[in-house]
Amino acid sequence: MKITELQLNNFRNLKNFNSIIWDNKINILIGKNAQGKSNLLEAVYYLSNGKSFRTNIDSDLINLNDQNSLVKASIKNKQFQFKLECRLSNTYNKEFFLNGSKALKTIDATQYFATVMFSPEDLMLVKGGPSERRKFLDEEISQISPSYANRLKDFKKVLLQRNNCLKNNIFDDKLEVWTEQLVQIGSHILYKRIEVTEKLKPLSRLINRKLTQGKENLEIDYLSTIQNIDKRKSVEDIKIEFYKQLSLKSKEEKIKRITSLGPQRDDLSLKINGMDVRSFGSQGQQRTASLALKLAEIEFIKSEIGEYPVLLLDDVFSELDNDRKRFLLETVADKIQTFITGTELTGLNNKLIKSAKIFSVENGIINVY
Amino acid sequence: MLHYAQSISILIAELGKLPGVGPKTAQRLAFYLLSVEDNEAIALADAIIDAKNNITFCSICCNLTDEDPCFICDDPRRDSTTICVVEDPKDLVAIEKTGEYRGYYHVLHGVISPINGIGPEQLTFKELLRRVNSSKFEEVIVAIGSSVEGEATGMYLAKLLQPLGIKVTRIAHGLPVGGDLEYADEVTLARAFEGRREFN
Repeated sequence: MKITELQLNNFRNLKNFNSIIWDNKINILIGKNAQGKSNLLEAVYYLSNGKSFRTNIDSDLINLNDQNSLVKASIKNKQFQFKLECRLSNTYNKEFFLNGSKALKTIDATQYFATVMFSPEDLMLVKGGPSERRKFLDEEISQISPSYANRLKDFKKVLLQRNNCLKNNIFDDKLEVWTEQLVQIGSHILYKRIEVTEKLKPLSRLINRKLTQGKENLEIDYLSTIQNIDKRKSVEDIKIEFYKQLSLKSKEEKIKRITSLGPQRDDLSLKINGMDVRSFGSQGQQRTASLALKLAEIEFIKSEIGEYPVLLLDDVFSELDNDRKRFLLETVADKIQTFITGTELTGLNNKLIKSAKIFSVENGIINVY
Repeated sequence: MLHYAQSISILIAELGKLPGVGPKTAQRLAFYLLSVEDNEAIALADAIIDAKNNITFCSICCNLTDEDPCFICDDPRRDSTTICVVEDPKDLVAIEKTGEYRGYYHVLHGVISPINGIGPEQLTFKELLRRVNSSKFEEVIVAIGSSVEGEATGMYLAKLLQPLGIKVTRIAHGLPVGGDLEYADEVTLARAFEGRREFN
C-alpha cells in the first residue's frame, strides 16, 4: 500500500496547497522542532483511522487561523488506485470521501487504507499499564475486523451499565441481564484477542531474535483474568468458563462494587528468556520488545489483508542504537512505504540517505530537500 | 436576545427548548408566529393546551390516549392471547401501520438503563405484570430495538414472565426487505446469519 500524492490545507500548521509526490519506499522529513513534521504523520494516520493518535477533539486539527481543513491523498493498493479525502470544519462534522463520493460512515472510506505508527511513546506498550497493551490489541484487531470494533463498543456500554448496577446495589435479575450480555459479548472479544495473540506470538519472537542477534527470546501470551481459556477453546466454551467464574465472584463484587473479571481487566504478558520485561527488563530490552511488537503488527496486517500497511516512524531514530536502526531499515527497505521524521540527517547511514527521498519541513511548509 | 421586546424573547426561549430546534430556528418560528393571523396562532396554542389537558396514559396498556381505556384496549375483536411490548408510542404506531399484528400492546416508556437511573421500577413493568396475571395471555412479543439496553430490557422481561408459563418471543433482526445484501452493514448481516431459517 502506498501514498503517491498528498495534499494538506490548514491541517494544524501545515499549508501545502499543492500535492506532494512521495517516494514509493522511504521518505525522510527533516526539520527543527515544532515545524510540523509529526503533524504530517498525524494527517496520514487520520486518513487511515478516522481519528488522531494525539487528540480526540477534531477541531484541534484545524489551523487556529482557519475554519476548514483538508487532507487528500492518492493511494495505491495491490488492486486499485484511489483517492481518499477528509474535510474537517469548525461548523460541521468531519466528512470522508472515497474517489470523490461522500462516505456514509467514516469506516467505509478508511477501511481501504492501513497504517502502522511507531513513535517513542510506544515504549509505554511495554513499560505502561495493562490498558496500553489492551489498547494495542484492540486497535489492531479493529483495523482488520469491523465486527470486533462494534462488539468492543457494545461491551463498553454493557460494562458501564453493569458497574452502575453494582455501585447502586442493584442485584438479582436486574443485574443478571447485564451479566449475560457481558459474558456474551465479552467471550467473542476474548476469543478474537487470544486468536490474534497466537498469531503475533511467532512473529514477534522471530523479529526479537533478529533484533538481538539470537540472544533473546520474546514470549507473548494473552493473560486473562478468566482461567482455563486458551486457543483450543471455542467461543461457546469461553462463555461457559466466563459465566462460571464470574458467578463465583458475586460475593466479592457485592463488596467491591465493580465487575471483577473480564476482557476489561486482561493483559498481554511479555517475557524475555522467561523474565517479565515490564518489571525486570532493561530500558534497551523494553525498547526492543516494543519495536518487535510493532513490526509483528506489520507482518500480521500483511497476513490478514495481503499487503503491507504504510509505516509511520515518528522521531524513533533518536531512540535506537545503530544495530537496531539498521535492522529496522532492512526490514522496511524495498517492501514497505515508510515516512520517517527526524531533526537532522547526520547519524543516518549514507545508503539510506541515497535511496530515500528527503523533504524539509519548515514552518508548516514541506519542500523537497 | 436582549435586543428583542420581552415577550418575543420569552417566545424564542420557549421554542428553543423543543427537541431539534436551535436558537436560529427558534427565532424564525417566533417571527413566523407573529406574522400569521391571530386565529392561526391561537389554534396552535389551543392545540397544545388541549393535548396537554386531555392526553393521559391508558390505564391498561400505558399508551398515550384521550379516552381511557384507549381505542386499542377497547377493541374486543383483537387477539386476546398475545401482547406486544414496545419502548414508546411511536413504535406502537409503526407496528400498527403494518396491519399484520392483531393483538394488544404494552408501552414501557423507555428501556432499562442503570446509568440514567432507569430500572424496571421507572418503567411500566408493574402494570404489565398485573395484566399478564389477570388475563389469559399466552405469548408476549418483545419488539424493542437491539441496542444493549433494549437487549437487557428484553432479557429482563423473559426472566419476569417465563416462570409464569408465558411464552416470550422477540421480533427478528436482520435485513430490510427489498434491501441489497451489499449495502447491509457487517453487524446486521452477522445478525441475519445467526437468525437464518430453513426453507419450507
